[in-house]
Amino acid sequence: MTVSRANLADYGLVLAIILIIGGLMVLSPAFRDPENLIGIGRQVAILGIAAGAMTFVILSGEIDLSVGAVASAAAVVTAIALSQGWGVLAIPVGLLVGGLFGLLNGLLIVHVAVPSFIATLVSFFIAQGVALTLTGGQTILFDADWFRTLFATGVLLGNRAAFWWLVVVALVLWWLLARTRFGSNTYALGGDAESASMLGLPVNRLRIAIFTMTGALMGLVGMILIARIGNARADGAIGLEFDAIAAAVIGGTRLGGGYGSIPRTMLGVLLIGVLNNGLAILNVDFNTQQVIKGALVVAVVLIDRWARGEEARA
Amino acid sequence: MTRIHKRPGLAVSALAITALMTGTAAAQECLGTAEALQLTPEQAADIGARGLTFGFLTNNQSDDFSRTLVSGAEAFAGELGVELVINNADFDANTQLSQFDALVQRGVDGIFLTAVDAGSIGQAVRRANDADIPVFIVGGAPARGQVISVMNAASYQGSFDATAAMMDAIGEPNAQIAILGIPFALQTIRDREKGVLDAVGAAGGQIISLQSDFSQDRLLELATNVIQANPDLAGIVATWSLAVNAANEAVEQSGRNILIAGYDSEVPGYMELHSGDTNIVALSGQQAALQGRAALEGLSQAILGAELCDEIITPNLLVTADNYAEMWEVQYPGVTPPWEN
Repeated sequence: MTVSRANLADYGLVLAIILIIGGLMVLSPAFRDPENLIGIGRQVAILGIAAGAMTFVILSGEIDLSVGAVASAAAVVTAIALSQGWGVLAIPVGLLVGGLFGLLNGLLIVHVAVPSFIATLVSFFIAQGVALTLTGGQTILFDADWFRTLFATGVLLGNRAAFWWLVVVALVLWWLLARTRFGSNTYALGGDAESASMLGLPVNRLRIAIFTMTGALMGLVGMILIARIGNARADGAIGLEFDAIAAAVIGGTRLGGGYGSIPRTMLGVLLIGVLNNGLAILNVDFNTQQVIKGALVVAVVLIDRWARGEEARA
Repeated sequence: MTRIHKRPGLAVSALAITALMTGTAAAQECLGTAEALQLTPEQAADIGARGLTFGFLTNNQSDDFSRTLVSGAEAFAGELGVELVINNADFDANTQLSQFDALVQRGVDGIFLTAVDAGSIGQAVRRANDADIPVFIVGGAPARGQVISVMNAASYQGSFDATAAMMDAIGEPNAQIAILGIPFALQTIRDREKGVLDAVGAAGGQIISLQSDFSQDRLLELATNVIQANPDLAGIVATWSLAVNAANEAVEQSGRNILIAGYDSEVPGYMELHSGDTNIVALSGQQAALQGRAALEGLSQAILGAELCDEIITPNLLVTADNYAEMWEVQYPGVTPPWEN
């Protein structure tokens, strides 16, 4: 049986993850401890949700640079609401903050005709400004054990709540993308926006919906973030956008739009999570970790491109 | 003859000793501590009567240190009767250069700055030198231009003292210690890590892990992984504020008895110590408010003709569960403690 390039495209990433996990298991007994392997799931929860949302954005042919700042702003607002005794109302407030920033992105792109790169950069600055103004640069503490249990620290079936939130969100996003008209329209929009419009697809509404959904999910990310660490800072999730884009691209999502899937993005998330965990356990220093991760990302993307070259010709 | 021959030798020796002593005396004449910079009431009145304006440039105002530094300077400027022009560069070196040049153009009487990039601010410092404007800097001297002094917290001593307190509390030889830090290639960070290494070495412990990151969430992951991978881990030294929070959270979630020492004592750390149920043994607190005040006193002293030493070290506070309330008042003068809110 020969392994074709097309097989590699489909299974290469899985193979890479298996090889890396196998190598780390050989190198470190601590890595292969089941408790550690389970822990990777909760450690990638934030990245996984952000990367899932980013997959929709990239599939539609757009980009969202505001996700980290929006998650931070939502986190700060939620923490303030919790510290002021708003209780369970803090949850919809956090989701609303994220959703409103997403809506702003969509409206700027659709009605002001600003490219998503610029529109989301604007939102990035506004969200960062809001978070800094609200916190005054201070760390916001809150006392709400129920909130932390619900979004991060609670244990269900052997894993923490943060992991289960990732599972739920990934399943919903997969269903939306693979099983609904919303998902097929998203692919069509990213494949060729002009044709999609000529075919009568509600292109503008679709863009607004994708960005609003991404914003709301960043509200959820913000809540998981503060539930994990127990405080909120204006810069809590800054930089998340780049990791989310990297995970989606490693998973094979085409930056030009129209190609990608949630399961593959989750594989990209898993690869990053395994590397982060394994390299820390092996006590590899920060700079070397960055180099190793960068080199692996390039290798995975190049192999994927090479494999898809044959697929495209077939 | 012999005596005559000996006399020049003795004279030369005496001269050399005198020169050395004079040199030492001259070196000691420079003002080298925050305490030495303090203005007498007469000096303060003199400065207040001159109607001076000082520029105060910060690399950011989004962290606790910078905010406290600015508030310390603002409080003392009001007391002293000088105008303070405060600019925040928000970590942008170009913005800071423009702000610096604007202050020189305006003809302020002195500039104090926490540089975004000490390497790139040199030309601007030269322009201030040409305009006879004294420049006082935190962190490191610029590559070009002359500053009246460089102010630094006692990074080495602070981290040494906090780590030594933790090692003392652990009380076991060969204790396994992990460092959780920040990947900045700055002298202050190297000094903090050196302080940790020396204190752990002096107590007979061993460093088994050194991990660092900029993000609190990622630091939590790192601390969790290090705890998971090292069943005999006895202590974590966190060399900056977010690492302290992350280490504390990771230890709490692990349920293990791992002690923590930290550099930077901020609100979450104080609240932990206040809780009475914490694994944090000691935190080293930088006196940012004192530095803000010393900044204006240093510029004032230079204007009054005093010589400042090349480096001025401000002492750190060793904050523990026993003295946190007292230390809060020193570190954050005039600010209501968070446990009273």
